[in-house]
Amino acid sequence: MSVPSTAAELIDHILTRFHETHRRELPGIVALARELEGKGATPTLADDLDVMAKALEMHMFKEEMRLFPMMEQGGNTLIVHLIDDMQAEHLDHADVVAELEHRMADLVAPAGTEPDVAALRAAVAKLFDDLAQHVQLEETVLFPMFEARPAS
Amino acid sequence: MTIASFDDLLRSASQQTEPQRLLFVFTAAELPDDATPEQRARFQVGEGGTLTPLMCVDKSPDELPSFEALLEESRRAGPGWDIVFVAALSGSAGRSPTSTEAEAPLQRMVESIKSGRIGSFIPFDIHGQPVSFG
Repeated sequence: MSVPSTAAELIDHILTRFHETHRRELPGIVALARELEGKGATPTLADDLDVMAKALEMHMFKEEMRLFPMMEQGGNTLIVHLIDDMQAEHLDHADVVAELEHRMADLVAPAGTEPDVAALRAAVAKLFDDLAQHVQLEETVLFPMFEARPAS
Repeated sequence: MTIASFDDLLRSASQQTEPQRLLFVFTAAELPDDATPEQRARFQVGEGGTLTPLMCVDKSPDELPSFEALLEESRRAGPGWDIVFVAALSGSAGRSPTSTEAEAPLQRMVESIKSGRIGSFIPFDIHGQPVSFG
């Protein structure tokens, strides 16, 4: 798949390929984790996945309602501060993902829940893979388009 | 105090007992894909349509001397807009809410506007005049 090259195209791609996908998939992941908890699966993960979902929603909101509109106008003197904030949040998200990956590895499926646990593992793995691609695209392609821009 | 203009709002915010943080959601009027011919005709003359949130910002009243300053900053920071919705977030114990504390209320504000629940916010047009929706 070719990656868009202009900021506007990149933003559109990030919104449709990543933001919409995260929003579509996360509620089902949290619900499945909650259902497995009810069947005795440990460690419990639903609350932590829900906290991550809410943090991710806030992050995407800031990008959509603050950073991306500014980028689509070509950027200005404030943009580096917003980019710094987003990069700091990316680091925070990476810590949360690493912790959740660790706990997912310890997940034990009670008898009869193996298919659901396998489904949860697959869904979370896909989410984390999408998140990694999402962050990498922003950090290595989109943000550098504006970081070196002189003040206007 | 009656809010007859954006500058009235700024004055009112500055006079509150507790420090305020002003929340702004900029929106654009758009015509729905399934609009009827009548709706399209009204939209052509500047009426009707739906308001789509485009961007948001939070400011203390001290950071904003006038509507013109907001208009100028919004033009530099983002796309053209039609209506800006404003709400005030009150501080406590003499402390103003921070920008970080404004994020969740801004998020709720955008969701409210998307769902048409705008009664809690003051809308202004691009001239800084309050707008009433019939």
